[in-house]
Amino acid sequence: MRVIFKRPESLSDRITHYCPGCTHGVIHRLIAEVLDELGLRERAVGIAPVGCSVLAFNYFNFDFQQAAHGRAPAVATGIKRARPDLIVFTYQGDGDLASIGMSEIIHAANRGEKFTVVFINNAIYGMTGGQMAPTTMPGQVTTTSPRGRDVQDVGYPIRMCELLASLKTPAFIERVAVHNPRQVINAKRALKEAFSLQRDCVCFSFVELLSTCPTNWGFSPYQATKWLEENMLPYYPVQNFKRPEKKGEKDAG
Amino acid sequence: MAKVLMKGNEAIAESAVRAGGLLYFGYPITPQSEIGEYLARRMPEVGGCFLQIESEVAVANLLYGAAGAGARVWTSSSSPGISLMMEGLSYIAAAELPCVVVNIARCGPGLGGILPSQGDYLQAVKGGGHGDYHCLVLAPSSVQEAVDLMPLAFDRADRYRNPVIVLGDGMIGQMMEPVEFKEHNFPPLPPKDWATTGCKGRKPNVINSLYLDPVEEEKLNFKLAAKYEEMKRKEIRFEEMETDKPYQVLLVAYGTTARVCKTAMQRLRADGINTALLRPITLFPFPEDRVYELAQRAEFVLTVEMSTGQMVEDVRLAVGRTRPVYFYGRTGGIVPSPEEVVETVKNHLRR
Amino acid sequence: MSRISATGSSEVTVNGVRWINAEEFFAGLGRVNIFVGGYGSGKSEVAVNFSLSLAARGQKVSIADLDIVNPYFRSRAARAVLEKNGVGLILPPVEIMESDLPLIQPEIAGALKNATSRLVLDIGGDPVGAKVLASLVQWLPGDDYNCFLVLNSRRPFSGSVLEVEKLIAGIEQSSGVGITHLVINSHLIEETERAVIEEGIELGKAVSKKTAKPIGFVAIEDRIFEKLATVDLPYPVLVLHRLLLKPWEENEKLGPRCFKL
Ligand SMILES: Cc1ncc(C[n+]2csc(CCOP(=O)(O)OP(=O)(O)O)c2C)c(N)n1
Ligand code: SF4
Ligand SMILES: [Mg+2]
Repeated sequence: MRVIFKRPESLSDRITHYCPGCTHGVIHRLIAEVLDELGLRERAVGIAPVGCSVLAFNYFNFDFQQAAHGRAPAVATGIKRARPDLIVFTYQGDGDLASIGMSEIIHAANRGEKFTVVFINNAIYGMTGGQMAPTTMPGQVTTTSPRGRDVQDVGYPIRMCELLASLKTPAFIERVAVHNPRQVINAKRALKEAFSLQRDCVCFSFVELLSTCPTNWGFSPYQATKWLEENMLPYYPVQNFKRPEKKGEKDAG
Repeated sequence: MAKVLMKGNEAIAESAVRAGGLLYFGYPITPQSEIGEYLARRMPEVGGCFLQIESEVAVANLLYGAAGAGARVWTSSSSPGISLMMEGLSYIAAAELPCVVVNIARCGPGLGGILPSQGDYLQAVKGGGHGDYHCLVLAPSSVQEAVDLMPLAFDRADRYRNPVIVLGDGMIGQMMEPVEFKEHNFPPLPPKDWATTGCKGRKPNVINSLYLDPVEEEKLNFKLAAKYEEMKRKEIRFEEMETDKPYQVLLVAYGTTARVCKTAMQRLRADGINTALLRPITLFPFPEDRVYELAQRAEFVLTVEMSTGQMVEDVRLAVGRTRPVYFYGRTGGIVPSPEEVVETVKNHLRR
Repeated sequence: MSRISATGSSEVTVNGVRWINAEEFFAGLGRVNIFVGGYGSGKSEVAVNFSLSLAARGQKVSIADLDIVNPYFRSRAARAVLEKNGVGLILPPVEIMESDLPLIQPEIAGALKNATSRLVLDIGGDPVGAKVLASLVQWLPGDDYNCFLVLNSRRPFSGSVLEVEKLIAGIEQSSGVGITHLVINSHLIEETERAVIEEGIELGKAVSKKTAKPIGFVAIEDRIFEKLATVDLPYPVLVLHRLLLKPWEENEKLGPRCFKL
């Protein structure tokens, strides 16, 4: 019998606590597959954030550190500066990265720290019960924006890729999504590119993944997918923002 | 090596480098910026890393990451910056990671001023951040002692897997004194087999402070408490002066104020008043037994600080009601003068 | 080479500051005297003593504390003694004096131009501290000034000819002012021994040979000077009296050895 689907070695043999239809699980698997395929598991150190993925260290089968809320890029910098040979990535939610950890992510990106950021944008604070995030859509109802996000009062959602792409140093920035198989394949390609760039000590790499939080959005997983397509995709375009020039291209230019 | 004349801040930096503290992250703040400036020059010479980071909040979390990856890592700051590090320090203590944090304290609260203070005593010795933890706290009172305590700080941080605070003040950081760098030999340390260094050939390591199971969290708390008890048994350090002769008054002071007390003691002796000094070098663990013993031979105890009364709380806990414990303090960056200490002693004796 | 002993005939003692063999030196002194040097080399202590000795000679003199890199132990800490002894002060306002703000007083330009008074500038250490001079260079009086590099061979990054050359180049580049003299101030405070001073002079000589900058004078603290049996130097000697003290030293010293207050 031929095995056509199995658990990547980089994932541990545990059932996750994520809600049905939550995309955290899908993204975990993509990271694991990429690390397996690149043969990087034994050098990998992940950093779990504070957010729904706070227990991510239980689900991966390699070294992990658990960081304070928003500080994963600082922790990653510490690890990478101490041990540049390790393959380091942060796994952060939108509250973690774009709110409380804004300073840490911008400065790590701007220094060009050679680690990879996996940024989970689900437009909400999942873990604490569905409060407004800096990425919450205009008009989106959350427990702390019960009449919908009022942009006159709290401004428009922050687009992290665009913000970081305005910096000169960070060289790989891409936004992807995981709400259908075609997008998942593309997301894996982007993650693989990001980790390869880190492996080759090229640059800081940032991959934003548009995600669903059916539980706190108050939708079925299918409705959540539709909501993401209709509301998030137009505001958060799926595209590559920056990619380091290949040696040859640069020379040619 | 020939003696050199160094500022406290530079000497601390050089001593740390010699003790293998080759990874330093920091953010500028007066009166300790010379530490970073010295290292920015020195680290490249020794293959170390100096990195200026965006905030002290981030710095403490870099320490967490680097210590978790097995490195000997340290930072320095002054009071407002140390407050920002409390988040990270709490995580570091919980995850049982070694690191050294130097606080060249300045007066406060708030932004305060740039002059020296001992107003961070309680923050340093009682935990400082959230949760049930302690740092080992070392308090030098001369530039030479600061030099000698740095290697000890690194060793004990590794040995106990616990953050160590070196608590100085602006005076210790800014003054210049001749110093000598000696070799320090410590027994071998256990391997850092818990560090996240890549899981090749072993099970994955996790650096973590999250315990959702109350039984597991309590286990951690009891484990940490046992570690602090061990420190109390093994790490208490202090200096005594004139305790081998009869004395009327026991002075208790650390760091800069201990230097002031030493001058005051000479004056008092000239006036026929005998005093003794106990100078804690470890502030946590505090030399409580010795304070109690020495207090019993005195009429009263006088604690002198650059605060409105912080260490005196620990002195009172140690002495209890067996002897009066008086306090003299100056703040705002004003260092008590030897005269003031002399007068205070005389006033209490007259009563 | 002149031989002078500690009680030599060319000794002048006023207000606790003594100068030995300095007549020629004073005759050639410029109106503006700038003290630069490595970080912690003792510029402020030398500048304060230097100002006091000018005032003691009956000269009109002001001192400007332009240290923007040190937060403590700056010449402003000796303001009471300076003021009482007739040295004019160009200092930041008292309310914000004890800060780490880079404070440059606007009066400084006027003082640099004022031909009737001597001026002493105490500049912060290293090329970073010397930067303040760059904005003042335009008002420096032609060649009627001296720029002294204070040198303590027992300070980090100041122990070899190479290091001192680097320091000189750095300071001259950042300040835009050429250093005219070296001041030998090698010491370990109370632990200073003859050998430390001699080593400083040797280094000074070697630097002088390399850079063609003469040794202006040698500074020796009075307590150390008293312990040296004889001093045999072909340079002027400033026997200085430490004024920038640690809090626990302060009062020990306010005895008879102090300036007249
Ligand atoms: C200093 C601090 N403040 C607040 C919290 C509470 N908190 C935990 S998770 C979270 C929001 C997480 O949201 P996000 O990063 O979007 O992750 P998600 O759960 O959506 O994956 C907050 C506010 C905390 N743990 N620490
Ligand atoms: S609350 Fe939302 S983000 Fe968290 S696990 Fe559930 S679906 Fe996922
Ligand atoms: Mg979220």
